[in-house]
Amino acid sequence: MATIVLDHIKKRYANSDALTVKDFNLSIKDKEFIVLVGPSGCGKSTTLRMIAGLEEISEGGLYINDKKVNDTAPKNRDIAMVFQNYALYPHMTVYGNMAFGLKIRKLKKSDIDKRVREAAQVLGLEEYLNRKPKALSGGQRQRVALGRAMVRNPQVFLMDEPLSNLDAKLRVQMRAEIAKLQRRLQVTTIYVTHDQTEAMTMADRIVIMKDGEIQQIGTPEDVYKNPTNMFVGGFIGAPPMNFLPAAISEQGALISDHLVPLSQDTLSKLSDYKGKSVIAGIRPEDIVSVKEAVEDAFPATVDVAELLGSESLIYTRIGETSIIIKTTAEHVRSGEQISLALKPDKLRFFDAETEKRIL
Amino acid sequence: MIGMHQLKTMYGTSLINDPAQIADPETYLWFKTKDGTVFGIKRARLSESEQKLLHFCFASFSPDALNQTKKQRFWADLLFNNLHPEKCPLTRAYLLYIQLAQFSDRHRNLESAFHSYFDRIYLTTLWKNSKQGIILLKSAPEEPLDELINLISSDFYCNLHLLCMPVDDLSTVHTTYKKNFALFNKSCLLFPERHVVASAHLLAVLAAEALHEQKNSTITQQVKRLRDVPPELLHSVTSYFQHNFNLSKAADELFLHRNTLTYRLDRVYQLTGLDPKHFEDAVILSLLIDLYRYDQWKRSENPD
Ligand SMILES: Nc1ncnc2c1ncn2[C@@H]1O[C@H](COP(=O)(O)OP(=O)(O)OP(=O)(O)O)[C@@H](O)[C@H]1O
Ligand SMILES: [Mg+2]
Repeated sequence: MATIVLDHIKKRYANSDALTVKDFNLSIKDKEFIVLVGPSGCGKSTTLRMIAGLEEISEGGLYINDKKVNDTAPKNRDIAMVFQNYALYPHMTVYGNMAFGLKIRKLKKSDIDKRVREAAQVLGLEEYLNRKPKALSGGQRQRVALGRAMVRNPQVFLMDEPLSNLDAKLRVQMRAEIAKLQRRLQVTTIYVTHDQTEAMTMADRIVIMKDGEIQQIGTPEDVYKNPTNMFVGGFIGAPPMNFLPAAISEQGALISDHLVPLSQDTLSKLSDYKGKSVIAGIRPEDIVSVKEAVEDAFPATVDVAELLGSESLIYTRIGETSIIIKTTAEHVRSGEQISLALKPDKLRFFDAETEKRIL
Repeated sequence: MIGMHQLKTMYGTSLINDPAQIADPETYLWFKTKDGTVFGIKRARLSESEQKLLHFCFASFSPDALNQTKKQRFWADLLFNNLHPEKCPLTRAYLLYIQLAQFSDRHRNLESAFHSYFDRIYLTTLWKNSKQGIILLKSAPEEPLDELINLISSDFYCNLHLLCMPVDDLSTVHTTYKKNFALFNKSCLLFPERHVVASAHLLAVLAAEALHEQKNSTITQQVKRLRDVPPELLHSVTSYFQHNFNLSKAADELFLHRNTLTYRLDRVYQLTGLDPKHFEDAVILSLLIDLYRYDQWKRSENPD
C-alpha cells in the first residue's frame, strides 16, 4: 500500500544555478504503474533519485502515504530500486545476491530463505539459485536484479531504465514481464525510460517531461490522442504526429490551399483563431490514402513506401511539408501518385507560437 | 617502563588523549597503552629515533574507530601514518578512493559488500573518516565499476564516487594520498555525474587549477568563450561525445532530428573554432568543456 505525492518539487544541483527539475507536481495512486519519459537530460533520473533519497530535494514536499518523507533517511522510506545495469555481485550465487540486502538488515535466516524462494518462484529462477551471474543469460540476470528488489517487500519500486542494456528482442519480452509482475505484486511503481514505446506499453499513466518540466500527465491513450502540445504529439507515437501549417476560415481549415471542412462545433471553438495561422496535427493512421485521383483530396507523390507486415508506412508531402502515413491499404511504390484525405474529427490544432493545443 | 605521567611531562601540550578533540588527527602519531589508554603525540615533535622507541614500547592505534580489524590498522598505518612494517606483504596494489554521500548504514556492511564484489582481489577497506576511504585491491578489478555503484546505491541507498588508482610502490603512497583525496573531492564536486573516475581523468582538474592561476592565457580566453555557447549546445556536444560520435544514437536520446544535431554541432564549430566531429578538435573541446565547468564553479563560489 503506497500513495506518493510530489508537491512542487524542485531540484537545483550544487554546481549549477539553473533548476534541473522545475515545480514537479504529481499524485500517484496506490498500485499505480507510472512511467516518467522524456529526452536525455530532462530530469527523469533526478526526480527518481529524489524520491529514493539519493538526492536531496531542494524545494517542495515528498509524501509517501500522506507522510512527509523529505527528511526520512532513504533506507527508511521502504523503497527498492532497480537500475540500468543489472547490477549483481559477480562472485555470489543468485541466492546470495537476492539474500544480501536482507542479510545486512539482520533478518532471520529462515525469513530470508522464505522470501528468496518466493521471489525465485515468481521470477522463474528456482533452478538457477546456485548459479553465479556469469552463467546466466541477460534476461535471467535482469530477473535476479528484480528479485533483489522484490525480496525487500517494499512499498514502492523505482526503476531507472532497467531494460536499456538488453537487446531489442529481450527488451520487448522483459517489458511485458515487468508489467505483469507489477500487476501481480501490486506495488506502486515509478519507471523511468526515454523510450516512448516502453512508456506506452507499460504505464497506467505516463508523465512526459522536457527540460525539467512536466509537459503532460495522462493514460497512454489520452496522451496519444490528445497531446497538450506539439512536443508531446511529436514525442509520443512512432512514427510521430504529422504537423501541417493551417489557417482557420469560416468553413474549415485551409491546409496547403485545400479546405478541410470542420463541424460547426469545432469551428466555434476555434473562433478566436479565425483568419490566423495555426498548426494542424494528425496521426499517421488518420490520413486516408487511395491510389486513384479523388476530388477535394490532396494529390501527393510517394517518396518512399515501407511495408511492415500487414501495415505500410508511406513517406510523402502535403504541399511543402513532409508527412508519414500508416495504412493497411494496398501497397504503393515510390514515385506513384496518390490522393490523401485527413479524417476531420482526428485533426488537432495547435497555437503556432506557443505550440500548445487549442483543440 | 615509561608511564603516561612521564610522557606528559616530556611532551606537554603536544600530547593529547582524545583524537576527536582535534581537527587533523593525522598530524599526530597514535598509540595505545596496555591498559587501553589512547594517546597521540604531534609528529613534528618526534625525532625518528623517538618514534622508533615509542613503537617499541606501545601498540600503535588508529584514531579512526572505523578501522577496527588488524588488517585495516596495518594498512592504515602504512598508507595514512607512513609507518613501515618490517615486511610489507605487497609492493603493488590497486586503490579505489571512495567518497560517500547520504550514507546512513554501518560501515561494516558496506565493507562486506565491497568484499563480496571483488572477492579474491579484495584486501581491505581503510576509512579516513566516515565519508572517505580507500578500498585496497591486490590487482585491477575485472568487473565494471559502474555496476558496483549501482549495487551500492540499491543496497545502501547512498551515492558513491570512485577514483581508480593503480600503485606501483606502496611505500610511497602516503605522500600522495592526501593530494589525491583533495583532487578527487574536487572532481566529485565538479563532475558529480562521473561516478567512476580514472586517475588519468584527474588531468582536467589539475589543468583547471593550473590555468586558474594564469588569468589571461590563450587557453583561459578559449574557456571564457564557452560562456557564449548556449547550454543546450554544450549538452548536445557532450551527449555526442558520450555516444562515441554516434550521431543517430545521440540524436535519438536527445530527441532531436539527426539534422538538428548536425546543425548544433556546426554551431559549436562556428562559436568555438573547434569541430566536434573532428577527432583532434573533439579531444580539446572535451577538455575545454571540463575547464569551463571549473570556471563556472569558481565563479559561483566567488561571484565578482
Ligand atoms: N549529480 C549531479 N550533479 C549535477 N548535475 C547533474 C547531476 N546528475 C545529473 N545532472 C544534470 O541534470 C540534468 C538532468 O539529468 P538526469 O540524469 O536527471 O536526466 P535524465 O532525464 O535521467 O537523462 P538520461 O535519459 O540521459 O538518463 C542533466 O543536465 C545532467 O547533466
Ligand atoms: Mg537518467
